[in-house]
Amino acid sequence: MTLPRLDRHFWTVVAAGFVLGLLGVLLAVWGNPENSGICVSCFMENSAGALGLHANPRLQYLRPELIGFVLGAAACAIAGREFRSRGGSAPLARLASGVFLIVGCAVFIGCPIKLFLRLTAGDLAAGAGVVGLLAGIWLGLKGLAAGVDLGRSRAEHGGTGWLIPAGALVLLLFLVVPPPFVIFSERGSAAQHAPWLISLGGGLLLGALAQRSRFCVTGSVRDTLLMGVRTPLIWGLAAFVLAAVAVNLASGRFHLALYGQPGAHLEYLWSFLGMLLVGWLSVLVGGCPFRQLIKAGEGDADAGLVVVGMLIGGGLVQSWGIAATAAGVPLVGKAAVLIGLAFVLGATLLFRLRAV
Amino acid sequence: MLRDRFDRFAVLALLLVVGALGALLVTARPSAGRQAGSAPDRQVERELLAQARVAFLDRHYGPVTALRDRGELQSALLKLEELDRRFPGEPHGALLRGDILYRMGLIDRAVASLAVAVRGNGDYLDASGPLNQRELVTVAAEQGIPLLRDRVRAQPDDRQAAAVLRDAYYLKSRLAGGCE
Repeated sequence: MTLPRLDRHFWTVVAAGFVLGLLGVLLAVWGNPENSGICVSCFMENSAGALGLHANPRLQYLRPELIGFVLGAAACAIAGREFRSRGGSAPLARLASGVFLIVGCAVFIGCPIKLFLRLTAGDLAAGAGVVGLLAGIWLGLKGLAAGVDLGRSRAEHGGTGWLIPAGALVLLLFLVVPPPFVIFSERGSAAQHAPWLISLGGGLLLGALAQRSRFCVTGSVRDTLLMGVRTPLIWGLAAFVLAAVAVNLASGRFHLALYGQPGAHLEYLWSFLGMLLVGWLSVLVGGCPFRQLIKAGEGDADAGLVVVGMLIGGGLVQSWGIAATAAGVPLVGKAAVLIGLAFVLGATLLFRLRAV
Repeated sequence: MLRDRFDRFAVLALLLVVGALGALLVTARPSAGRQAGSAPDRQVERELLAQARVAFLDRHYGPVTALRDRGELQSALLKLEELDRRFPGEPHGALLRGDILYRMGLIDRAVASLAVAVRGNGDYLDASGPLNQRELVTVAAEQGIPLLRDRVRAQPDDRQAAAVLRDAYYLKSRLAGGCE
């Protein structure tokens, strides 16, 4: 077994994973919903609601963590002279991918980060999601090996890479001084949140660490399937899981059970398929929903389009009744996942570079 | 940047527009140009709706509550049936039915009714809300789960018991919190 070099990069990755696991649980201790200290898809749905993209009165709040991820990554990239405006690769396909990423997450109830947070809190029902995520990443890798490629982003003049960080600044302004059209829930899970300064600070720290380390949940699994334990990312994921288990145990939030878990349903097939869609799409677009936010903060306009798609998706999954609840997955949600899988398969055929 | 007159014109125009936007936001009176449907309106509207809902439930379901409190549980159920015909699908009817069935010791039927109520209106589990019924839902789920689990184990073909057990797990999951 070849281990990675224990250099500065390795320890940065481990630190990023560790802090993600730590804050992922602590933010729930400080007020965020159970097992949702950090959940990019839930937070997207909340933020879309706050901006008026859906009307569910229980899911409307501009989550400061999301703003922090983008701004932390942007600040770190600028400080490290890594901020580069780039983009231009299959923009509409990426936008649609962002929508379907949230569809998959909404049917499972959580993004890949929350998948592991649920698991580390003892939620055995998340197991089907883990298998689905692994299967999706494996299928995505098979596609990459067969020549499926959305294309490389190019350096862009005009600075479009600044748009998403600028948008995050505007959202921060909306959070601090809410304009008349921004609305926050007073009940339901969106009314549960940690103090906004703590959430923002945590987001900034994680954004900076993730930018420096390139840490990503699906990226960790992808690289492990490709390189085994030589990749530092799997050690980051291990640090994430260990930190989350430790804090869950210490704070009395670890309840090992299949049933009655917070924000979980028992439709394992659809949990599997939802996360399969997320894993597959994440390989196609180059990272999980969290990583897309970080890349958008670094000036990657392609990732920025995925982020915009995720925000639109956050509105649609609520407006169209796609999102699953503890009661199960609605018919529309099941159909949306199948349409998402048809989309990935279509993209696989259309974006495949074939040998002439 | 600023290489020729066109660049300078564009920068000047940009500064003017930003300045005008700032001036507009700073000097605008709160009521000036406010449109219906803005967030303050919606917040007030929501609050009004929430209060109106509580008043509506008190007015129409008050007699059921009174009968229940006097211990006339069968009469309360009959009154609920009448109200169900007037307000079909109203989750408060399911909630009160769950409460009454629980008092009658019919835990499985109580659990099924409470699950319908919570699916219809999550406010019943908001600890700080005026419709809070967490205590009732918690005891019904806690007592219902072992009872229904034993019944399903003893009679694996009993589909109804299995469905109510799923309802009980649903209630437990909702009580545990998390994203909705």
